[in-house]
Amino acid sequence: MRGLQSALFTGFVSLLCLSAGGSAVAQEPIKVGVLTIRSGPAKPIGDDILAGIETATKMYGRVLNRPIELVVEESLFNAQAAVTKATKLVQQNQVASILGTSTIETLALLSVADRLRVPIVTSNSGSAAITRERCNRWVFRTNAEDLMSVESLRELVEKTPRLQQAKWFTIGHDYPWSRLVASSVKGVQDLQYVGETFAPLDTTDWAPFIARARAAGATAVIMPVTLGVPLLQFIQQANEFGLTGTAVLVSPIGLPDWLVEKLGSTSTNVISAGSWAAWRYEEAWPTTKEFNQAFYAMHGRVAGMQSLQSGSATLMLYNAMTKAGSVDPEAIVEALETIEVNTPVGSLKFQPNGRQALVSLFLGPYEKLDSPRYGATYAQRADPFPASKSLPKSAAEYGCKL
Amino acid sequence: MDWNFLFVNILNGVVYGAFLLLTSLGLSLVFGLGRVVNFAHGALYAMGGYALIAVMYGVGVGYWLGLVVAPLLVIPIAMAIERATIRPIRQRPDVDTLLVTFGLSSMIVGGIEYVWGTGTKLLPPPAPFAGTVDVLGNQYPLYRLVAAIVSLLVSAGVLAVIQFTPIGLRIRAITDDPGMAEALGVNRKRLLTLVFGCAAGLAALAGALGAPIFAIHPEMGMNILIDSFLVVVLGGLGSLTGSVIGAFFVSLTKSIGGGYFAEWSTAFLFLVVAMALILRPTGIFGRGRVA
Amino acid sequence: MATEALAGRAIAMKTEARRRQATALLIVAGAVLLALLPFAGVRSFTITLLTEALIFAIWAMSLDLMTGYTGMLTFGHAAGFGLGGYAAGYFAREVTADFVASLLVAELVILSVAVPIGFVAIRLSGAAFAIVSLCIAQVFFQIAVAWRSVTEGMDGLVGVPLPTVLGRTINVGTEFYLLTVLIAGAVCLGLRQLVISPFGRTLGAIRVNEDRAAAIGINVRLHKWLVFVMSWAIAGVGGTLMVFMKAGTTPMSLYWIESGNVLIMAIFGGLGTLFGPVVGAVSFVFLRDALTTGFEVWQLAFGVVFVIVVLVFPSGLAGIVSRVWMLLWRARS
Repeated sequence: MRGLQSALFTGFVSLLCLSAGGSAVAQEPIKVGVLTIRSGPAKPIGDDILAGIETATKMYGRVLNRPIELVVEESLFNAQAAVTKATKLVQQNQVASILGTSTIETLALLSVADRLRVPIVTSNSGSAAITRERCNRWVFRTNAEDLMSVESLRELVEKTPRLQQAKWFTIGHDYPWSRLVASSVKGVQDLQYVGETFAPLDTTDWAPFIARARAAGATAVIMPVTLGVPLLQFIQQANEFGLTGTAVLVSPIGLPDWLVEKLGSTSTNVISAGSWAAWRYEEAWPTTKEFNQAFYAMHGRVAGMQSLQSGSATLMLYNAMTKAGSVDPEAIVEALETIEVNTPVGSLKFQPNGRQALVSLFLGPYEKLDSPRYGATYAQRADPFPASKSLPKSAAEYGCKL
Repeated sequence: MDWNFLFVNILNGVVYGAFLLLTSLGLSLVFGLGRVVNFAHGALYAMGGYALIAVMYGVGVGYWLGLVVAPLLVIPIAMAIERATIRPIRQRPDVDTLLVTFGLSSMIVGGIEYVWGTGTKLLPPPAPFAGTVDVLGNQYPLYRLVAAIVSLLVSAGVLAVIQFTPIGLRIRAITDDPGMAEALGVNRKRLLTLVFGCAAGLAALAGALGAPIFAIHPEMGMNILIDSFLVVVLGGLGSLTGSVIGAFFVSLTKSIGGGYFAEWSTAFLFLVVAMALILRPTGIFGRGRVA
Repeated sequence: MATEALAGRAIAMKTEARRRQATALLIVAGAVLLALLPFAGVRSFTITLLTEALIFAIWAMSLDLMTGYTGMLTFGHAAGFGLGGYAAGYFAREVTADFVASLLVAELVILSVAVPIGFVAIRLSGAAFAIVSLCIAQVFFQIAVAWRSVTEGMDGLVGVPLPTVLGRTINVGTEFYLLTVLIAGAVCLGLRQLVISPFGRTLGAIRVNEDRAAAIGINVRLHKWLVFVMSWAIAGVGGTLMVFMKAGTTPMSLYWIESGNVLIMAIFGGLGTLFGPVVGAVSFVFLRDALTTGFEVWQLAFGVVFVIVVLVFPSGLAGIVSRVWMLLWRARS
C-alpha cells in the first residue's frame, strides 16, 4: 500500500505541475479563444455555439496568411469561472480575441474587459445593458438584445389577430430578463394580461406554474425559460397537461433547432417573437446558404440560431483582422467599428459609436417542412424584422458612452 | 379563495411526493444501515433513466418491460461499486464515505456523458397513458398519476419487506444495534452491500418512472437528490416511517409554494425545513440519533 | 522508574514546544516562498490560479475550524463567503474601493447576520445542523436573486473596481497576489494560534463528545456560537478578496454547489489539520483547471481521480504531509 501511495502521490503532483505548465506557444497560427458552456443542462447551447465558430473558421480559411487555432475553454456557465478562464486565454494562450460567450460570461467579462484588453465578440448574450449603460469598448455583440426582442414582440402581436385577442400569461425563470419580457408584454396597448409567475432557477417540475396559468385562463403563454433542457422540459410538460391545446406558446427569443426537432409536432404550437437567426432565410441570402451547407457538411445537422449567430460573429472578427492587417487588439477594435460584412444573419455592421450590431430578428411560427432539409423536419418560417425598427435610436441615446 | 387551485396544487404535491418517497426510501435505508451519506443517489437515479432507454432502444422492448429490467441492471452494478469503493473504507470516519460517494457521483454522471453524450432525450409516455384525464374538472396528465401509483405500490412493498420478512428483520436489527445484531449472527457486510444495491435499484426505478415527465439528461438526478436529503433528515435518520411523512411534507410544501409563492417557493421550502428541524432536531421520528 | 518517566516527559514537552515553533516558522516560510514565486519567473496564469487557490484556502480554513476542529459539519458554508463578497463589492462600487473599509463593511454585515442565526443554529448538531446550514445558505441565495434593486438579481453585481490600500490601487496580477498571500498567511497563523490555545483544545473536546464536554463544565453552546461566527467572518475575508479579483459576483456564489466545493476542498486536503484546507484548495483549483481545458469528459476524470485519492489516502492529502513531518521529527529526537 505504501508503494502504491507514493507512486500515486508522485503522479498526482506531476499532474498538477504539468497542468500549471501548459504547452509551448507556436508562433505561426493566430489563436482565438472560445469561452463557452461545455457541460451541464445548457451544454447543447455551447455545442451549437462552438460548431458555428468552427464552421465559419473553416469557411473563411487563413487570416493574414496564417491558420486560425481555436482554443476552447469551459466556462462552467459560472461568472467566476469564466473570469478565470478568460484570464487563462489571454495570459497563457495569448489569444487575439474571445468568442462564444453568453449573458452570464459576458457580464462577468465586462467587469474585467479593461484588464484583459482583447476584443470580445459575443453572439449569444441577451442582457441589453451589455451594449447600453454598461457598454465597454472591448465588448461587441452580434445578436439582438432583449429590448430589441421586445420591439419584435410588439410587431408580432400587431400582425397576429389571434395574439391580439389572447389572454397573456408569463411563465419564466426568475431572471431579470424574464421580468423584462413580462413588462414588455404588459406594455403593449390593448393587450389582455392575466398574470405571471416566475419559478426558482432549478425548477424541473412546472406543474404548479402551469396550474397558475390555467387558473388565470391564459390563451397565450410567453415563456422566458432558460434555453436548453429547462425549456424543453417546460414545453413537454405544458403539452402533457394539455396547455398547448388551450394556449399558444410564445418564445421570446426563438428556439434552437435541436429543440425544435425534439419537440416534433409539438413545435407547431409555438410562435417565436424575435428569433436570433433563421436558417431558412437562405432562400434570400446566399451567405446563409453557404453557411448552412458548410455546417451540414461539417456537423451533419442543420445550423440552429446559436450556430448562425456565432458563425456571424466569427466572420466579423476575421474580416476585421484582415482589414486591420494585424492581430493587435486595438487595431481589431478599430476595424470592427467600421466594417460591414455579409454574414449568415444578413449584412452586419455595428451601431456607430456603439457596440451592438444592427441585426434583424426573425418572427414567425414553427411548421413542418414539405421535405426534410439538412436533416431537419421542422423549422421556423421567418420574416425579418430589421434593426431600423428594433433599434431606431443612436448608441448614446441608449446610454452607451464609450 | 380559489379552492380548485388549491386542490390542483395538493394533487401535484401528492404525485411528486409518491415519487420523492421512492427515491428517499433508498437513501434512508442506506444511511440507517451503514451510516453512509450517499451522494451518488442522484447519479444512480440518472443511471436508471439511461438503463431504461438502453433497454428500450438497444434491445427493442416496450416501456413496461424496460421499467422492470432497468433497476435489475443497476442493482448489480451498484453492488459492485459498493464492494469496491465503500466497503473498504467502512471503518473510516463518515466524511470519507461522503467524499467517495461524491466522487462516484461525478464518475457516474461523467460516464453517462461519455457513453450517451450530453444531449437530452425525450421519452413519450407509453401509449395507453399519454394524454390527460379529468380530475374534478381539471385536466391532469394520466401518466403522472400512473407513475405515482406505481411509486406508492413499490414503496409499500419495500416497507412491507422491512416490516414482515426475515431479511427485513435483520435489516432492522442492524439499524437498531449493529454490534448486537452481528453477535447474533447477522452478516453485516453482505447485508449492507445488498441493501445498497437495492436502494440503487429503487433510485433507478424512480429515474425510469420519471423519464417521460422530466426528460433524460445526465444531470437529471441532481434536483431530486437535494429534495431526498431534506426528506431523510426531516423524517429522522434511519426512520422509514419518517421518510414517508417527510416526503409528502416536502413535496406538498414545494407544490403549494410553487402555486402561491412562485419564485420564493424553494426558499419557502428551505425555511420551513429549517424551522421544523430547529423545533425537532432529531427529525419527525428520529429516535435520538442526530449524527 | 519515576525519574526516568519525569525526564521522558520533560524531553517530550520540550520537543513538543520546539515542534510548535517550527510549525509557525513553516507557515511564515511557506508564505515567503509563495510571495517570491512571481519574481522567480513563474507564469502569470499560474500566479492567477494560485491567487484564486489561496482565496479558496482562506475559505476552506474557516470551514475546517467549524467542521474539522469543532465537529460541526455544514452544507451551507457558501453563506459567509457569498455574503462577504456582496457586501464588500457593493460598498466598493458605491462608496469607496478602499480595501480595509470594504472588508470592515463586509464583516459588519456578516456579524449582524451570523450572530443571531448562529445563536439559533448551534442548538442543533450533526445532520440536522448540516441541513439547516444548507437551508440558510439557500435562503440567502434566493434573497440575492430577488433583491434586484441592490444585487441586480441573477445578472449579478458587475463593475466592482480595483481595491485601493492607503490610496494606492492594487492591480490584479502580482500586487493582488501578494496581498492575498499576506492575508492567507495571517489567517493560517491566526488559526494555528487559536487551535493550540486552551480555547482550541476545548473545541477538540466538543468535537469528540459534546455531552461529555458539557459534563466537565465546558460551555458548549458559547464555544460553538463563537466558532460559528468566527468561521463565517473568516469566510467573509475570502469573499471580499474574491469579489475584487473577479470585479463582481453573482448569486451562484451562494449556491449549494459552492458549499459542496469548499467542503470537498477541506475534506480532500484533510480535516482537522492546518495545511489540509490549503492543500485541498490548491489541488482543487489546479485540478479543475487542468481537467476542464478542452477535455470534454472532465467530470468522469475528476470523479475517478477523486475516488482513487480518497481510497488510497486516508485523512486527506495533508495526512501525507503531516506523516512526513512527524517522521522527520521522530528521526531528529
